[in-house]
Amino acid sequence: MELFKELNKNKEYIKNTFFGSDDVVFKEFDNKAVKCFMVYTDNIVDGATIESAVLTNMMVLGGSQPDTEGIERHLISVGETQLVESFEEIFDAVLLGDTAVLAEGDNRAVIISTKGWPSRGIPEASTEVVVQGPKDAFTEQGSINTVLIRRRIRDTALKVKRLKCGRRSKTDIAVMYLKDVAKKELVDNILNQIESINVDCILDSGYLEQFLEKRYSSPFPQLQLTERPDKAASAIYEGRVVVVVDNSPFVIILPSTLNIFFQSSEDYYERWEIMSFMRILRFFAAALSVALPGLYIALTVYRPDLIPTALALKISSGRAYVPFPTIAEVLIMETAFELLREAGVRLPSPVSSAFGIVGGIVIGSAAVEAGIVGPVVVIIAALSGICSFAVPNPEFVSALRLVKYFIIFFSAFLGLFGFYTSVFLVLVHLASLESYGVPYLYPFCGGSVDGYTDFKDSIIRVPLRLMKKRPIFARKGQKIRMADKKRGGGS
Amino acid sequence: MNFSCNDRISNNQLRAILVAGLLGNLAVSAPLGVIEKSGSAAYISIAIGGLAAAVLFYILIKLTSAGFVKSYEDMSTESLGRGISFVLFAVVLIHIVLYGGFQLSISARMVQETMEKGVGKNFASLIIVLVSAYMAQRGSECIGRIAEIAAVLMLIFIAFIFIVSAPSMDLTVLRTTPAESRGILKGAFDAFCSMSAAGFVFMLSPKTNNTKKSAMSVFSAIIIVTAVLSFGTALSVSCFGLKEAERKLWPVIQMMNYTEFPGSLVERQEVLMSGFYVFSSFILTGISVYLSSSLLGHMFKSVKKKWPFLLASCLAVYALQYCGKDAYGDFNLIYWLYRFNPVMYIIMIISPVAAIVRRKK
Repeated sequence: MELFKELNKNKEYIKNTFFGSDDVVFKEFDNKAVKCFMVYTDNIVDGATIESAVLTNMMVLGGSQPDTEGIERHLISVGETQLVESFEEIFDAVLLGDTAVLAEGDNRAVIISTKGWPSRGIPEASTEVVVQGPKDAFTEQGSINTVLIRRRIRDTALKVKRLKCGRRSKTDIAVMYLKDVAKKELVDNILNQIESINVDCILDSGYLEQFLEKRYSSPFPQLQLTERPDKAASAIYEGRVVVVVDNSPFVIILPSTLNIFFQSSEDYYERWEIMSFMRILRFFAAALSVALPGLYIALTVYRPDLIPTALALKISSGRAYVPFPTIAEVLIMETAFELLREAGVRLPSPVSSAFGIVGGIVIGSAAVEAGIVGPVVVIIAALSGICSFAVPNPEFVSALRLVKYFIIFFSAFLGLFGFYTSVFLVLVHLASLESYGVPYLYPFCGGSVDGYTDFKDSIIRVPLRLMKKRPIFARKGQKIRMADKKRGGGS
Repeated sequence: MNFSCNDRISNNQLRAILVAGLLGNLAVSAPLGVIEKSGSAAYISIAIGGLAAAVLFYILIKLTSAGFVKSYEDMSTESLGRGISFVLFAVVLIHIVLYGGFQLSISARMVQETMEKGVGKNFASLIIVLVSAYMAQRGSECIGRIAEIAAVLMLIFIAFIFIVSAPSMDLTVLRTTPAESRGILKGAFDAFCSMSAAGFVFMLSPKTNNTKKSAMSVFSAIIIVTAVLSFGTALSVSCFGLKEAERKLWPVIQMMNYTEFPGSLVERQEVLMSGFYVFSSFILTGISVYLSSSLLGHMFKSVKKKWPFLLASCLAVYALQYCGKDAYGDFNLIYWLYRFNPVMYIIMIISPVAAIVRRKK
């Protein structure tokens, strides 16, 4: 709705709209030449800016500016201002922490950027902890998150597209990418997709993630969430796109492949031999965490003849007095482990680690002593759980946990054939996934497309000097990231 | 959208499909028949037959690739018209469904005999068909991707087994004399027939993103399969001795049981090894179901509605697995089908040749 020329009418409409919102502040004042009306939301504005850069200028120093354009140009000493002509723009701005100033006889308003949100400062990363490397993490404030990324990319090609998402929440979204490296169609596609989301609120990046994923029925994340600014910046350098969602300490990186979920920031800060070994270990751990319980069931229940005799005897003697079938035994221990993990997350951090260790040991040994489960099953469940922690991405780990049960059930019903069938089904599912056109299993399949260069940063991580090319995500003509000393080049 | 090779299979994927699909199944079915004819020189027969098939494929694809359009079905319809292409599709369809069904039967029987005795053969077949249907429903890209992974895994395992088993080879068993040349040639012809999966090759080749290179991909795939089978046969004959190898249904697989693996955690490696054979079965059945449902879709002018044709293909493949009464019956059926493979070369090149002729006109 357009603004009126009469200040009283504008004032009345704004006050009526905000009726019942006691945190919205209205102020009427004169700037000598004209009557003015100011509106802002308390506690989300920077009071000092309003006083020094707006009110002092207009009421004490200011003089003869008869309209909002004059006020904006001569009296407001704030960098970011804007003239608007509708009530909706005023409401959006006021609810975001900006201040609106209206003048008598003018159907425009000045929006002054006075945001001053309460913030908890820049925290340390809690879910993607590294030994060596930066410790800072994203906060709930989108603008700070954008700054944290920009600090690491001092390039004019870094573009930040701002959008709003959520009919009621009007959550600020910032889409960040390197204009000359990211594929244009990818950026356009993401922008279009965000604009097309028609939901009342976006409360966290997790909301947006689910709207952006093509195959939402899959347990596997097709986009990457990170709380680390260095990871986000590195992704932008690779030609990927980062989506910052206000009120969320996690940003979205897309596209993402399975390989990326095994990468940690630390991999690039330490020596390549050690980190390559860690990578191999992570892949092995992921396979073990998913397959071990199912394989145990398949072998002990259906094919004990495959197990070395000494071990088979130990397993059978261990569960001689166990009243449950192996599948129940495994499910009991796996569920207990999941409960410990879930409870550990809810507990205060100083208590949770002690709880996890004590709970695990106590429940495990008590269950064995009581004859509810055999000792090998405790080892299997614990090993499977520990292995899952070796994978750096929590979302991916959650998917692995679910898949583990799928394999357990197949193995319980069909033995070794069921085990292989379920593993194959999981692989088929992964092979059918794509993240914004990039196969999920890339570079393990489709690697021929880029001459297999992306293998250099997959199961092993080659020395940085040899990683001369950007991954598949970068646009054509921007593949070279490391300039040749003699020939120059690189982009 | 953002990935240049996303809507078609790559040449590497074509190679992987052929390696993963053929390797496991031929490892089971090919050596037995060839050993019967060539005796201890079976490995030479397989090498000759495989090489001949690879060269023939290379030449034929090189000559006809100029006629390739986005798929074999479109190429045939455009160049031959609906009537002739319908008949052609029917022949190819029957061949592919028979191939899929007979191989399914062998696969399921092997699952039952080496992996899980408790799982009935028909039930194992049903599971394989259902998994294959899921894969086929996801399309050729998905099959290509999964084949890339499966082929690498299979080759790594096979290479490991060969390396470990090689020291125990008795090379004296493998010596051949000129008198055996007739048997070698007979065996080579059998090997050539079994490697000549022309229906699959000529239906998949036009789907690649660079058809100019598909001849090389097919050639290298057949050479890889030939090398593995030839070495595997030599290994099993030398390890078991000729008579024992002739008696065994799947000598290459059973050989794993007699191999000492350093630091092995399991006692019967051949059972774990047959797991990779199961992967191969899934891929071969999946590609059979996918190609046959695609042919049916084109035959009945309903390319978009996939489900009815997928279901029909699955049912046909599943029904055919009932044909073999026992393992030897299954092998006889598949050998009988292999004999038609040379004819399939001629049938499959009709469309690309017609397309080239039409373009020149």
